[in-house]
Amino acid sequence: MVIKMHHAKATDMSPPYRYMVSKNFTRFPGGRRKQHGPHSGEEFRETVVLPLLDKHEFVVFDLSGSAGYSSGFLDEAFGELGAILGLQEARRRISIVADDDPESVETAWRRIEDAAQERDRK
Amino acid sequence: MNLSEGAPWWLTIVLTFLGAGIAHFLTAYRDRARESCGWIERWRADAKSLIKEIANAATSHYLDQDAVGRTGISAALIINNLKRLQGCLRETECENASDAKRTMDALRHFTDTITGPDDFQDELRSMRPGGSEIFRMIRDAEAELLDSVRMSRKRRVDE
Repeated sequence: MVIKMHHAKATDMSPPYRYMVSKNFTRFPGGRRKQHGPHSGEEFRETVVLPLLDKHEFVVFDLSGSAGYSSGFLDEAFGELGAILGLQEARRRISIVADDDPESVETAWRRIEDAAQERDRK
Repeated sequence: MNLSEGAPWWLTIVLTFLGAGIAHFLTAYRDRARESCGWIERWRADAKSLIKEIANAATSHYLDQDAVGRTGISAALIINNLKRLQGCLRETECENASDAKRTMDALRHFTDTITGPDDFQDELRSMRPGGSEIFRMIRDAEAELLDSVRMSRKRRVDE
Protein backbone atom coordinates (compact mmCIF):
# COMPACT_ATOMS: atom_id res chain seq x y z
CA MET A 1 0.00 0.00 0.00
CA VAL A 2 1.27 3.43 -0.92
CA ILE A 3 1.06 6.09 1.74
CA LYS A 4 0.62 9.65 0.51
CA MET A 5 3.73 11.63 1.24
CA HIS A 6 2.82 14.87 -0.50
CA HIS A 7 -0.45 16.63 0.06
CA ALA A 8 -2.12 19.74 -1.21
CA LYS A 9 -2.39 22.65 1.17
CA ALA A 10 -6.13 22.19 1.37
CA THR A 11 -5.76 18.71 2.91
CA ASP A 12 -3.22 20.06 5.40
CA MET A 13 -6.05 22.05 6.91
CA SER A 14 -8.40 19.07 7.24
CA PRO A 15 -9.36 18.18 10.81
CA PRO A 16 -7.59 15.22 12.43
CA TYR A 17 -9.32 11.86 12.18
CA ARG A 18 -9.72 10.15 15.55
CA TYR A 19 -9.70 6.36 15.68
CA MET A 20 -10.57 4.63 18.94
CA VAL A 21 -9.04 1.16 18.96
CA SER A 22 -11.22 -0.28 21.74
CA LYS A 23 -14.43 0.82 20.01
CA ASN A 24 -13.59 0.28 16.36
CA PHE A 25 -11.09 -2.60 16.38
CA THR A 26 -11.12 -4.60 19.60
CA ARG A 27 -10.98 -4.26 23.36
CA PHE A 28 -8.67 -7.29 23.47
CA PRO A 29 -5.73 -6.73 21.14
CA GLY A 30 -3.94 -9.89 20.08
CA GLY A 31 -0.35 -10.80 19.33
CA ARG A 32 2.20 -9.70 16.80
CA ARG A 33 1.27 -11.42 13.54
CA LYS A 34 -1.94 -12.56 11.88
CA GLN A 35 -0.86 -16.19 12.17
CA HIS A 36 -0.79 -15.75 15.99
CA GLY A 37 -4.55 -15.24 16.19
CA PRO A 38 -7.24 -12.57 15.75
CA HIS A 39 -6.74 -8.82 16.25
CA SER A 40 -2.99 -8.95 15.82
CA GLY A 41 -0.73 -5.94 15.37
CA GLU A 42 -0.09 -6.93 11.78
CA GLU A 43 -3.84 -7.08 11.07
CA PHE A 44 -4.31 -3.70 12.72
CA ARG A 45 -1.55 -2.12 10.67
CA GLU A 46 -2.78 -3.57 7.38
CA THR A 47 -6.51 -3.07 7.82
CA VAL A 48 -6.61 0.09 9.92
CA VAL A 49 -3.41 2.12 10.18
CA LEU A 50 -2.26 2.16 6.57
CA PRO A 51 -5.74 2.65 5.01
CA LEU A 52 -6.45 5.51 7.45
CA LEU A 53 -3.16 7.20 6.63
CA ASP A 54 -3.98 6.80 2.96
CA LYS A 55 -7.26 8.67 3.46
CA HIS A 56 -6.45 11.23 6.11
CA GLU A 57 -3.69 13.72 6.54
CA PHE A 58 -3.57 13.43 10.31
CA VAL A 59 -4.83 10.52 12.39
CA VAL A 60 -5.14 10.29 16.16
CA PHE A 61 -4.98 6.70 17.42
CA ASP A 62 -6.65 6.45 20.80
CA LEU A 63 -5.51 3.33 22.67
CA SER A 64 -7.67 3.99 25.74
CA GLY A 65 -10.18 1.51 27.05
CA SER A 66 -8.60 -1.72 25.90
CA ALA A 67 -7.53 -4.61 28.12
CA GLY A 68 -3.87 -3.80 27.36
CA TYR A 69 -1.33 -4.08 24.58
CA SER A 70 1.62 -6.43 24.27
CA SER A 71 4.93 -5.03 23.05
CA GLY A 72 4.63 -7.36 20.05
CA PHE A 73 1.29 -5.84 19.01
CA LEU A 74 2.58 -2.27 19.34
CA ASP A 75 5.79 -3.07 17.52
CA GLU A 76 3.97 -4.62 14.59
CA ALA A 77 1.12 -2.10 14.48
CA PHE A 78 3.10 1.12 14.72
CA GLY A 79 6.81 0.29 14.46
CA GLU A 80 6.63 -0.25 10.73
CA LEU A 81 5.44 3.35 10.28
CA GLY A 82 8.92 4.52 11.19
CA ALA A 83 10.28 2.52 8.28
CA ILE A 84 7.55 3.62 5.86
CA LEU A 85 7.19 7.29 6.77
CA GLY A 86 10.34 8.16 8.67
CA LEU A 87 10.21 9.71 12.13
CA GLN A 88 9.54 13.32 11.13
CA GLU A 89 6.70 12.42 8.79
CA ALA A 90 5.23 10.01 11.35
CA ARG A 91 5.26 12.78 13.98
CA ARG A 92 3.61 15.13 11.53
CA ARG A 93 0.87 12.72 10.53
CA ILE A 94 -0.04 10.69 13.57
CA SER A 95 -0.71 11.12 17.23
CA ILE A 96 -1.04 8.23 19.68
CA VAL A 97 -2.90 8.81 22.93
CA ALA A 98 -4.15 6.67 25.82
CA ASP A 99 -5.64 8.11 29.00
CA ASP A 100 -5.29 4.86 30.91
CA ASP A 101 -2.13 3.43 29.35
CA PRO A 102 0.64 5.99 28.82
CA GLU A 103 3.26 3.24 28.74
CA SER A 104 1.79 1.83 25.53
CA VAL A 105 2.04 5.24 23.90
CA GLU A 106 5.71 5.43 24.92
CA THR A 107 6.36 1.94 23.59
CA ALA A 108 4.64 2.63 20.26
CA TRP A 109 6.71 5.78 19.68
CA ARG A 110 9.90 4.05 20.76
CA ARG A 111 9.24 1.37 18.13
CA ILE A 112 8.58 4.00 15.48
CA GLU A 113 11.84 5.74 16.38
CA ASP A 114 13.79 2.48 16.27
CA ALA A 115 12.40 1.58 12.85
CA ALA A 116 13.08 5.09 11.54
CA GLN A 117 16.68 4.91 12.76
CA GLU A 118 17.05 1.54 11.12
CA ARG A 119 15.73 3.02 7.87
CA ASP A 120 18.17 5.95 8.07
CA ARG A 121 21.10 3.61 8.58
CA LYS A 122 20.28 1.72 5.36
CA MET B 1 6.67 48.63 80.82
CA ASN B 2 8.94 48.34 83.82
CA LEU B 3 10.81 45.04 83.95
CA SER B 4 10.53 44.87 87.70
CA GLU B 5 6.76 44.62 87.30
CA GLY B 6 7.08 41.16 85.60
CA ALA B 7 5.29 39.92 82.50
CA PRO B 8 1.89 41.43 81.66
CA TRP B 9 -1.11 39.22 82.51
CA TRP B 10 -2.21 38.81 78.90
CA LEU B 11 1.18 37.34 77.92
CA THR B 12 0.44 34.31 80.11
CA ILE B 13 -2.74 33.65 78.12
CA VAL B 14 -1.06 34.22 74.75
CA LEU B 15 1.86 31.92 75.62
CA THR B 16 -0.55 29.21 76.82
CA PHE B 17 -2.48 29.23 73.54
CA LEU B 18 0.74 29.50 71.48
CA GLY B 19 2.21 26.49 73.29
CA ALA B 20 -0.98 24.48 72.76
CA GLY B 21 -1.01 25.45 69.06
CA ILE B 22 2.59 24.36 68.54
CA ALA B 23 2.01 21.07 70.36
CA HIS B 24 -1.07 20.40 68.24
CA PHE B 25 0.81 21.20 65.01
CA LEU B 26 3.76 18.97 65.92
CA THR B 27 1.49 16.06 66.85
CA ALA B 28 -0.44 16.35 63.60
CA TYR B 29 2.81 16.62 61.64
CA ARG B 30 4.23 13.50 63.31
CA ASP B 31 1.01 11.54 62.65
CA ARG B 32 1.01 12.55 59.00
CA ALA B 33 4.67 11.57 58.59
CA ARG B 34 4.03 8.20 60.26
CA GLU B 35 0.96 7.57 58.12
CA SER B 36 2.79 8.52 54.93
CA CYS B 37 5.71 6.26 55.80
CA GLY B 38 3.29 3.39 56.49
CA TRP B 39 1.53 3.99 53.19
CA ILE B 40 4.80 3.83 51.23
CA GLU B 41 5.77 0.58 52.94
CA ARG B 42 2.39 -0.96 52.10
CA TRP B 43 2.70 0.33 48.53
CA ARG B 44 6.20 -1.16 48.23
CA ALA B 45 4.99 -4.55 49.48
CA ASP B 46 2.07 -4.49 46.98
CA ALA B 47 4.34 -3.50 44.09
CA LYS B 48 6.90 -6.21 44.90
CA SER B 49 4.20 -8.84 45.23
CA LEU B 50 2.67 -7.84 41.88
CA ILE B 51 6.05 -7.88 40.10
CA LYS B 52 6.78 -11.36 41.47
CA GLU B 53 3.30 -12.56 40.50
CA ILE B 54 3.77 -11.32 36.93
CA ALA B 55 7.26 -12.83 36.63
CA ASN B 56 5.99 -16.19 37.90
CA ALA B 57 2.97 -16.08 35.59
CA ALA B 58 5.23 -15.21 32.64
CA THR B 59 7.54 -18.13 33.44
CA SER B 60 4.55 -20.49 33.60
CA HIS B 61 3.16 -18.94 30.41
CA TYR B 62 6.22 -20.09 28.45
CA LEU B 63 6.99 -23.26 30.40
CA ASP B 64 3.69 -24.77 31.50
CA GLN B 65 1.79 -27.02 29.09
CA ASP B 66 -1.56 -25.90 30.57
CA ALA B 67 -0.75 -22.26 29.89
CA VAL B 68 0.28 -23.12 26.36
CA GLY B 69 -3.13 -24.75 25.90
CA ARG B 70 -4.91 -21.54 26.95
CA THR B 71 -2.52 -18.96 25.53
CA GLY B 72 -5.16 -16.27 25.04
CA ILE B 73 -6.31 -16.26 28.67
CA SER B 74 -2.82 -16.61 30.10
CA ALA B 75 -1.50 -13.72 27.97
CA ALA B 76 -4.52 -11.54 28.76
CA LEU B 77 -4.00 -12.03 32.52
CA ILE B 78 -0.34 -11.08 32.23
CA ILE B 79 -1.13 -7.97 30.16
CA ASN B 80 -3.84 -6.98 32.61
CA ASN B 81 -1.43 -7.34 35.55
CA LEU B 82 1.21 -5.34 33.70
CA LYS B 83 -1.34 -2.57 33.29
CA ARG B 84 -2.14 -2.77 37.02
CA LEU B 85 1.58 -2.58 37.77
CA GLN B 86 1.89 0.49 35.57
CA GLY B 87 -0.88 2.17 37.58
CA CYS B 88 0.67 1.06 40.84
CA LEU B 89 4.09 2.53 39.94
CA ARG B 90 2.45 5.82 39.03
CA GLU B 91 0.94 6.15 42.51
CA THR B 92 4.34 7.25 43.79
CA GLU B 93 7.10 9.49 42.57
CA CYS B 94 10.82 9.09 43.10
CA GLU B 95 12.56 11.76 45.10
CA ASN B 96 15.33 11.70 42.51
CA ALA B 97 14.50 12.27 38.81
CA SER B 98 17.09 9.78 37.57
CA ASP B 99 15.50 7.09 39.76
CA ALA B 100 12.12 7.81 38.15
CA LYS B 101 13.62 7.29 34.69
CA ARG B 102 15.32 4.11 35.88
CA THR B 103 11.98 2.78 37.15
CA MET B 104 10.13 3.46 33.89
CA ASP B 105 13.02 1.96 31.86
CA ALA B 106 12.91 -1.12 34.08
CA LEU B 107 9.13 -1.41 33.62
CA ARG B 108 9.48 -1.16 29.83
CA HIS B 109 12.26 -3.74 29.82
CA PHE B 110 10.16 -6.08 31.98
CA THR B 111 7.12 -5.64 29.70
CA ASP B 112 9.13 -6.05 26.49
CA THR B 113 10.91 -9.15 27.80
CA ILE B 114 7.61 -10.85 28.63
CA THR B 115 5.24 -9.65 25.91
CA GLY B 116 7.70 -8.92 23.09
CA PRO B 117 8.49 -12.46 21.85
CA ASP B 118 6.59 -13.58 18.74
CA ASP B 119 5.08 -16.57 20.49
CA PHE B 120 3.65 -14.61 23.46
CA GLN B 121 0.10 -14.63 22.02
CA ASP B 122 0.62 -17.26 19.34
CA GLU B 123 -2.24 -19.70 19.81
CA LEU B 124 -0.30 -22.39 17.97
CA ARG B 125 2.89 -22.02 19.99
CA SER B 126 4.72 -24.82 21.73
CA MET B 127 6.23 -24.96 25.18
CA ARG B 128 9.71 -23.43 25.59
CA PRO B 129 12.49 -25.78 26.73
CA GLY B 130 13.47 -25.41 30.40
CA GLY B 131 16.90 -23.97 29.56
CA SER B 132 15.50 -21.26 27.30
CA GLU B 133 17.21 -17.89 27.56
CA ILE B 134 13.87 -16.15 28.15
CA PHE B 135 13.59 -17.44 31.73
CA ARG B 136 16.90 -15.86 32.72
CA MET B 137 15.86 -12.64 30.96
CA ILE B 138 12.54 -12.55 32.84
CA ARG B 139 14.31 -13.03 36.20
CA ASP B 140 16.90 -10.35 35.33
CA ALA B 141 14.18 -7.89 34.34
CA GLU B 142 12.25 -8.75 37.51
CA ALA B 143 15.33 -8.11 39.68
CA GLU B 144 15.96 -4.79 37.93
CA LEU B 145 12.37 -3.68 38.56
CA LEU B 146 12.41 -4.84 42.20
CA ASP B 147 15.58 -2.81 42.72
CA SER B 148 13.93 0.29 41.33
CA VAL B 149 10.92 -0.14 43.66
CA ARG B 150 13.30 0.00 46.66
CA MET B 151 14.40 3.54 45.77
CA SER B 152 13.32 6.48 47.89
CA ARG B 153 9.77 7.51 47.00
CA LYS B 154 6.85 9.56 48.13
CA ARG B 155 3.14 9.35 47.48
CA ARG B 156 2.13 11.16 44.31
CA VAL B 157 -0.31 13.99 44.90
CA ASP B 158 -2.32 14.77 41.76
CA GLU B 159 -2.94 18.42 41.16
